[in-house]
Amino acid sequence: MDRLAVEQGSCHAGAGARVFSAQVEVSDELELIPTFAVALSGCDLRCAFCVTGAQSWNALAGEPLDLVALQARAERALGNGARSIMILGGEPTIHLPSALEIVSVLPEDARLVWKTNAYGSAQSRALLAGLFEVWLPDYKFGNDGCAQRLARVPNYTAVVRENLLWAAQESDLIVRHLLMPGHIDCCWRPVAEWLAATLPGVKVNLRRGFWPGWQAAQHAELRGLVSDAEADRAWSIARELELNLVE
Amino acid sequence: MNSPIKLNQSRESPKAELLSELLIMPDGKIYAPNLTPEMAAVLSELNPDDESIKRRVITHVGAETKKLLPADWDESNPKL
Repeated sequence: MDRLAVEQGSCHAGAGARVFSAQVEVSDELELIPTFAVALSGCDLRCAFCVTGAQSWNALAGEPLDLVALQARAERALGNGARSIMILGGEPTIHLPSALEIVSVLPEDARLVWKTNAYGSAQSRALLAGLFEVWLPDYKFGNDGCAQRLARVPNYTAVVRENLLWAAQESDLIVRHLLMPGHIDCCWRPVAEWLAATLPGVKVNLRRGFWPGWQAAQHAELRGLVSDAEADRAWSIARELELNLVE
Repeated sequence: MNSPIKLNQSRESPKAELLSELLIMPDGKIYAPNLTPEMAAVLSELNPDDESIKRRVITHVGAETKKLLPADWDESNPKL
């Protein structure tokens, strides 16, 4: 895909990245917050339940990336106590040249976090090697069927697992899973079992913040919240498998 | 229920400088996916017993405040 020639892929991103949010946040993992979170518009997944769907599905959302201003804001945030700088999206991998430019202007000693859907290519991750102290991937779906139906992507499981294995060797790794209503057995359980068997001890953040926003209502089971019974079962699975849960 | 409240925390400009989205459920649960320190402080004031929010408030300390903390203060597990 040659974006300089005005071609566009499934993410519809152009040659330049746009930023839809850049601010200090405290909703991420306790070991990372406060983090200066830089969110780039656009994503290669089409998750119906995306909490930032308007910006993540629209690579033209937000403002053009201004490296000078962003550098100043990042340095100010660090000076005020931010413990990390997080680059996210949408999906930041679709803006790899811009992401690398951002990293190039950040302080050398800043703790950098790469928050990703882990659906990137081997070529893209190779270009990211050695740049981030923490990889923070979402492992959303426990099987290819749910990934195809809810996020419109093929071959999800193999791609994500390959990237997680790579990231575990590359940096500190915190794997997130957002519980979805009706997807405990088909999604959370296989994810948990694979993590326990393949990456024992890896930090796992099991999140209950699902809300039925964006286009979730197109899927009957996503029209509500995760019930208390489902959440209890999810945590039971985590305990049975002795996952290293972090908050 | 499906439309989160978007709170523009900047009074000076119509363009949001800080943005937190909150979804307040009928049972009182609040979901906040992009919580700013300022909004965390507000939520903690509203419900001081919420330990999860409280931890997110007290981990936000400025550089000047950090100088006042004991050398062995564990930022990953802060305790008042």
